[in-house]
Amino acid sequence: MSHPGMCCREFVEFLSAYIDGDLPDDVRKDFEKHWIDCPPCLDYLESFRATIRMTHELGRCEETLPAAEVPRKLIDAILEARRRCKDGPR
Amino acid sequence: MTSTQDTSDLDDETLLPALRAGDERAFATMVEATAGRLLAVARRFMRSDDEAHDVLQDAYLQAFRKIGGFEGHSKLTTWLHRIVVNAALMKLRSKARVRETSIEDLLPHFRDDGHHLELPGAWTETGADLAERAELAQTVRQAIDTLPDSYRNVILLRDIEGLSTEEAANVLEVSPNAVKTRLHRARVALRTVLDPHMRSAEKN
Repeated sequence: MSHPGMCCREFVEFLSAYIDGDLPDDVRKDFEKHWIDCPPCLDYLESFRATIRMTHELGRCEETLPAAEVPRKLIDAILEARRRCKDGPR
Repeated sequence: MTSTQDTSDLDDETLLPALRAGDERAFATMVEATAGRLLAVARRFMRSDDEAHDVLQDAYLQAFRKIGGFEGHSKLTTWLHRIVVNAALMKLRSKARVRETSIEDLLPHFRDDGHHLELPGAWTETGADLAERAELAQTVRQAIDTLPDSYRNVILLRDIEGLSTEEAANVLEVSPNAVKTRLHRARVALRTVLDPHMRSAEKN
């Protein structure tokens, strides 16, 4: 593996900036040249992308989850706490 | 007994003046209508039901006190959602002062010449169709929950809740650059935790 211009450590450090489109052109070119010459870093990039994809997907899943079952005693405790609250709306 | 009333029938225009006037029944209506959704939000951040319940109670009391300052530019449910997220982060922050595990062990290590110390391998799992695969979703959720709180929180806010860098920076009270740095380290650490599951994963 020969990849002048950027080492594997820098490649990993720049991953998020690359995916978010924050890398300056010259650094992005070095970044893209690195993975052509370094298959392990290409594997790392793909697994890193999969990680982000799965967290985004998880967020979408959890957003559409049905409302949680709320114990009646929790509702009552909230209403009671509000009654005891001395400083009202402002 | 439990409450799971839908929030879609909440009428902000009728409810808001009564809430601002301190009307007890209006407050009860709001709580009954929104508690199910908001408890689900609190549970995403907190690691136990008891903590999620505390967060919900804190959030509703804050809403009660601050409703006079709510101008109605967003929906009431959106405003409440943000209060719950803030209340959860406040509670997590107070815990983080007690103990915070190190993330260093979850970051990759490199040789002096900058090459990987251990070569990363290809994943057989691409993360596609996660919505239809409950087991995979649970694996990812559990992996996020193993991260130290300050890193877990930034993943929850940016990648799960969908806040922008600037919004997350405001909520966490750090600079946008700090959010970017922390999010990157959190994603790298999360990839490390997921790695053994994803190399051997078989699609079901």
